[in-house]
Amino acid sequence: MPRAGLAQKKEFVAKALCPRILLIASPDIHDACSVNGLQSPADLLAPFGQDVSAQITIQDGQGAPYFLDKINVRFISDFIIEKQQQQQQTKLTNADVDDLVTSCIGASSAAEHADPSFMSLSSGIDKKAAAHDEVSAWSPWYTLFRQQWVNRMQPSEHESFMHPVACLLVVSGSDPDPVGSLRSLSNHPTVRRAQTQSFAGTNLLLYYMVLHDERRTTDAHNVDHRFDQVRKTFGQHCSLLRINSNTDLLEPEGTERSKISAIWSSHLASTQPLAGPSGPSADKDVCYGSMLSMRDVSAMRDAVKQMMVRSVVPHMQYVVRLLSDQTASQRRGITGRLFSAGRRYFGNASKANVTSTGTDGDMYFRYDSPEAMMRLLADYSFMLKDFRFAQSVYQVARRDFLAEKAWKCYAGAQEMVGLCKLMWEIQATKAEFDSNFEDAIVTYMTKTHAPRPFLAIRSVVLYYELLKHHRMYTFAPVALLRIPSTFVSLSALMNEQAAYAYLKFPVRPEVRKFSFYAMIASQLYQRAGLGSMAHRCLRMVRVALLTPATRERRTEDDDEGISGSGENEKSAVAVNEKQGLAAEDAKDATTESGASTDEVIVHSRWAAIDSFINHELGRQCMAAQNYDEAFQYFMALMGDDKIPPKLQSKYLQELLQLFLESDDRAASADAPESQSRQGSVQLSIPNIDPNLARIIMSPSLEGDDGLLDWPLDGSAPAPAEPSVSASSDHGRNGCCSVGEVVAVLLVVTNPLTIGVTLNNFTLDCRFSSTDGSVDSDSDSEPDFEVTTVPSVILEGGQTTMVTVEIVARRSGELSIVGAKYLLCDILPTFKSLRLPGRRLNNTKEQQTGTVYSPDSTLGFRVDPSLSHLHITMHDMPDTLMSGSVHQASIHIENRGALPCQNIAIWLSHPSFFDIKSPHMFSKEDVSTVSQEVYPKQSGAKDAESTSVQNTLQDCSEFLLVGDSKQQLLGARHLTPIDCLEPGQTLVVPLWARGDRVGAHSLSLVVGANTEAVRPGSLSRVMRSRTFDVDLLVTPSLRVNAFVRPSTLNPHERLLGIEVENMQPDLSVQLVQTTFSSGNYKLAPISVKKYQETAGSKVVVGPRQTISLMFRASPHETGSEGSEDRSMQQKTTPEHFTINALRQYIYSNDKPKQHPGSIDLIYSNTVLGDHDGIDCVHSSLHSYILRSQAHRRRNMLRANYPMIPEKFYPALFPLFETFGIDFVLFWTEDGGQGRSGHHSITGIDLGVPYDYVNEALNPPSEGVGRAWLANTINERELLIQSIANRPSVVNHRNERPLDVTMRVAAVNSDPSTTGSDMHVVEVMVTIQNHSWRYGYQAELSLISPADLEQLVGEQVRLDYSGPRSAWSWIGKTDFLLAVDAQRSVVVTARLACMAPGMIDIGLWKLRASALEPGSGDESGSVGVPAVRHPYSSKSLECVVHPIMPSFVTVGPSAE
Amino acid sequence: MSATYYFAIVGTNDSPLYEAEFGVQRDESKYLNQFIVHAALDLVDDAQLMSTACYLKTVDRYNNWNVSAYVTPSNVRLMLLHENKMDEAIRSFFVDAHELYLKTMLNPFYEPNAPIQSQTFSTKVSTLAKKHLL
Repeated sequence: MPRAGLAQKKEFVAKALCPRILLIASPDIHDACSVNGLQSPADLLAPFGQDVSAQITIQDGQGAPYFLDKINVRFISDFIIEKQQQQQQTKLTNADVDDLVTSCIGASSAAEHADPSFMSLSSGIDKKAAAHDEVSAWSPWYTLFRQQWVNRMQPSEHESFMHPVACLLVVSGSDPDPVGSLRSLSNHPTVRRAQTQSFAGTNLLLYYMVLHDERRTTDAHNVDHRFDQVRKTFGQHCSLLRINSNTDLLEPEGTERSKISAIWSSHLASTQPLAGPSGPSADKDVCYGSMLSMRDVSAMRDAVKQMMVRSVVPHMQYVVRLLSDQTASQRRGITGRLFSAGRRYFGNASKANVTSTGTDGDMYFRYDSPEAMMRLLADYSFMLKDFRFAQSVYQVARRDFLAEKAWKCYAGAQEMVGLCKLMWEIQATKAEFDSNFEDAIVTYMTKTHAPRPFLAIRSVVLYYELLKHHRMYTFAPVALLRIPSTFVSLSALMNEQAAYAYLKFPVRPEVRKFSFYAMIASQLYQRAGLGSMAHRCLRMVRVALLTPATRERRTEDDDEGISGSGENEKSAVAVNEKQGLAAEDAKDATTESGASTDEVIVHSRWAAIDSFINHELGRQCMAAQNYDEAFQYFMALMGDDKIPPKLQSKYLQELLQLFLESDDRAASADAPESQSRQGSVQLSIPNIDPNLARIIMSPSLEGDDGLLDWPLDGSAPAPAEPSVSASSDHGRNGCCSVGEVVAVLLVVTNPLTIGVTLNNFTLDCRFSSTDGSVDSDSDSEPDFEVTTVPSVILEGGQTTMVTVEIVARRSGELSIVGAKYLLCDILPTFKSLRLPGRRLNNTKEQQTGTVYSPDSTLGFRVDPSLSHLHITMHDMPDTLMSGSVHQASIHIENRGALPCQNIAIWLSHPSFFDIKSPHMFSKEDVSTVSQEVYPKQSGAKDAESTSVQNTLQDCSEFLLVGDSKQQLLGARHLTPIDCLEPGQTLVVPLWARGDRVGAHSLSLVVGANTEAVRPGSLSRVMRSRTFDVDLLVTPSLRVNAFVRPSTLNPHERLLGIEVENMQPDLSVQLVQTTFSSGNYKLAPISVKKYQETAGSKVVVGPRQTISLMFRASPHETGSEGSEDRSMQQKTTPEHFTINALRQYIYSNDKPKQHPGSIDLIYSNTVLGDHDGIDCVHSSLHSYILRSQAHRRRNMLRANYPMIPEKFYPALFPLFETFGIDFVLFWTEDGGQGRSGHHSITGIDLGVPYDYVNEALNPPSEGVGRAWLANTINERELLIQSIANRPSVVNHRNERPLDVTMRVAAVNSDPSTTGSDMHVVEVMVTIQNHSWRYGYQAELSLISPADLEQLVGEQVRLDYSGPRSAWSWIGKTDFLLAVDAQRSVVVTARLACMAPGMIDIGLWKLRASALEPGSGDESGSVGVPAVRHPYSSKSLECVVHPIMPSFVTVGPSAE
Repeated sequence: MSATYYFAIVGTNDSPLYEAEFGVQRDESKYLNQFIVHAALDLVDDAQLMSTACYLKTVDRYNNWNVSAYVTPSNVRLMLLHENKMDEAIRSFFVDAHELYLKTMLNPFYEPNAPIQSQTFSTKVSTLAKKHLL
């Protein structure tokens, strides 16, 4: 099949340049033709001139034989080289060509105007199809055009192609004197003219034909006779033809009739000029050859064949041979050329005769000149398909023409050389034919007397056909573009062909070049007014630009993700798919726009190209009134931010214009259609990112709203699990109560650089009711109300927030589908707010492919059971002095329909807030709402013992409404309200205190629930509002505590409190100090002096520092029996910690039990003459405990990073036995009268023993088995971290045992001795600080005289007392055993020479630890302690005194 | 000199990485510039098979426009649309621009085939254009 197609192209050239036969008929013949619907005998015979199968062997110009397969011939009825025609040819006007092109395009059917077969919108250009398909199928109008162009060829003086090679004279068979008639016909003026003006000249072959019309039956017997006469007279060049044998007009067979008619109709269709749109359709009905039978048809075919084979071809052969001989000298070598030159230069006379000026002003050669004869020889050889010979002759002729500067002839010869090379298959591959054509065309257009566009174009057309034949498409674009550019429509046609040629390139289709030339063609078509063709071309460009992207995706998958363009690609494809889907949907719905909506918006990433194409396509669609498609292009334009602003505003104006136009049209057409279209207008401007959209409940209030999951243990509320809320969709977490205002916050960005306005901005929402009850009044009341923002002004590139409020009236699910607005108050636009699904990455398929979860929408749930509270905060401070308190309040109003059973508040920083019991709001008691934070207490006791729960409970949640039993431990002072009825308002007094200096971001969460807490649940989901309070705390006082041991009493400590006023201009009056400790009672020492200076007030002036001294003495409990003590010891906090920590480290089951209560001694000192502050029995107490717990937690967090916080309460108590907590209350002296307090937690009174380390040693039993090395390593790490905790540094000089001495009695006996000798009884107490080991100790008391022995041990070098002033007497060495946390008292005696103060701290204690529990009974020697890595370093140690111990020895009598 | 130049760096996936115009700016022909350069890529593909050099000289011509091309070893193409023939100047411009591009590639945050948006790059390119072309 392709071979046949190929032959066709070569045949086209052969047919165009075939021999012509001038047909002259006597007038009576015309009748025989017209009955068959044909105008002339030429028409009658014309179909049979095609492909006459000659099947003869003929000789070429050099006598070599070759086989002539078939030959074409054309019949012309006139031959004239008219001036007028020539002029018409010369002035080939634009309009003529336009008409021709337009009619060619108009003649092709609508189906052919569809996109070419190689294009498909989904996959771009199908390259296989492009390489395989024929170009002619893509543009049928070009095929028509080339035929029409060739048909218009006119005879010219420079070539013999349109000149007749023979003359056919036809007379009727009924002519009584055919010979005479033929003779007269041979003198016909046309024949004469042909003989004088044509190349054939007088050698014109005359062929005679007798045409017998069979209808004239009367002449039937005479015809043969008459033909014999003719044959006798004119020889062999004559024939007889009988036609019109079909005498009965009744149709014999329909098929035969149509077959006969088709012979002419098909031929005429290609040869007759297109007479505009109405012409061909009128001819369609004409039935040709109605009087002809198949016998006549074959007779005619035979007659033409006979004429050609017997007469015309031999004649032409004869002429060729003759001319070949005549011109042989010229063609042969140098001699011929010399001769020619000689003739040229020396024979002036002959030269003048030879050349003349033609009708069109160009020089040409007379027909009898050697140059013309050569041309004739070549042309005849060409016609006889002897291309090789023809080419050689043309080349010689070309040389001569060039020498004579006969440009038209030269150009013609050049053209023919090229044609010959291409027609001669063997030479086509190597010859440089292109330069021949280029030269020819340039010469035609520029060098001739007047430009010859017709000939130039003919040359291009023929050349292009042969290039197609040889598949040498690489030459085609250049060749096609050589046509004169003055003819716009023709250029368009040729550019289109050039574009196709690029697709047919042999190596690979050059798609980019294709798109370029298609674009040029499109522009030219546009200029020529052929909008539909321009549109078609531009669509091809668009698809072509899409093609590289698709190719990449298929073959370079791994490169895809690299660039940002991958995204573009994806979006392009996504658009593609969406459009495709839309198109499928639309196909059955709307027939009108079905074909046009399957569009792809181009993203070639060449910004200017994209915008140009989209704009042009949009304008074309607009011109074609295809508004829907135009919209798409313009919308694609609007989304492009790379377009310069000038163009953007232009595009926007055009888009609005387009909309107005289409709206008018739609309004006039039918309203519903316009409605549906308006709803579907989706524009890319402005950008609204649905991921940035926020749904805000109760927008008039501060804080965030949401469902939070509140654990019952008081830890921080967390966002509720999605499964708890109604829908698991992303972004669907919001919910609100009925009738509540919900604000939707949208971030709107203008991608353009010009400003636009959005009017009537609102949201499109869908509501699905869940209550199931279809109310009868649902029609009257809408499910929800959406507000409309009247106008949003967006400057270029600006981003704004648009808030739209929604009020839902019924319970259900509300989803926000999209935003609706009028762009620039004109264009109704809908913007979808669907959230694209996340990229999934869970399974292997998802990881290797690209899978997205389904899209979701924004929305929220309307749940009437949810509480609807109006929560406001009043008087919340933003700046506080550190320590100062400020009263604020929270008002909670129940605006819902249901009572709230449960309201709780959670604080991120409980030490910053003290919350008091809430009370109902009523107008009257607004003034009495204010409470004093520090409750006064008249007659405060100096010291007070209270049992305090020693649990380290971090209490940050307070129940405001609900069951008081569920109140957490630390908030027991707060009594909740049972229920908050609708409409009621609750006032929660809140005291804010600047706990720490710095900027803090505190958050308060208020949660509410309409249901009571179900028993047994671990948590509850409550609708919660989170407030963020930014608080800046400025420094006010700096309080430091320091501890010194008392030299007077070794059991006592001196505690100094240093208060520095950091304020530059503010005096602070100290009001009260309160110490709490488990062991010590504190009494002020130095307060008095301050009080005296400032008149019973202790005032710290600006930038002033004062220090208060307190003496801490061990508190004497009422009963000091050892039984009690041992009981108590078991439950001391330290014991608890050691046991719990050891269990935590070594046992598999972690400790759960909390420490019990501890008896705390509160020592209050009122610094002034007013009432004391009750911080023991009031709610202030629990606040102080909470802050202390908070601070202690912070400390533990720093010290024990490896222990999870949830174990703190079970491991560490709130108070240690020997720690002191201190609170200092103050008020501002003058000024605003602010008051506050500072506190210090855990002042260590210097017990030199680290009890925590005791816990690191494994217990004797109950060590959890650790099978895995991992577990052991972890445990090892934990122990390490505890042993190396930061606070260990403070416990450097660790002494398990300490010795204190006290004078029990002084027995001065001066009377007996007569001297000042005093004997002093000293009670020596050996205190064991260890919490674990008992010690066996050997105490040696050393007299000062023996001090030299100890010099080597470097102890008591500071001893400065006299060496012989006193001495131990009696027993100085004691062996004793001290249990853990016990003390042993021994009594020693010393003798002193004189009364006074002496330093008796001279002793040596050698101690070794005993394994706990080994020594059951006192006195028995236990097992020596086993050394563990973390046990005290001093299991065996020698302790020396480190400081002097002064005692006063004086007369006992005083 | 009233010459107009259009310079484009085209990535391996045929998308422009960088575009610039030097000399007399003509707004309306911007899309045409792109079209010509884009179409010339086809000829670059052919021409680079014929030559071992990076600089391919003038590869395409449309009316009075010439397109010169330079192919880097990674098949990134530097294209210059110009009116006058000036092979040597364009060659040195291309070589310098290639070096600039290489420096951009050294940036660890730059991904191959991503558009170059650096202001510095564009300043440097216009400096090069002034030096060699204008």
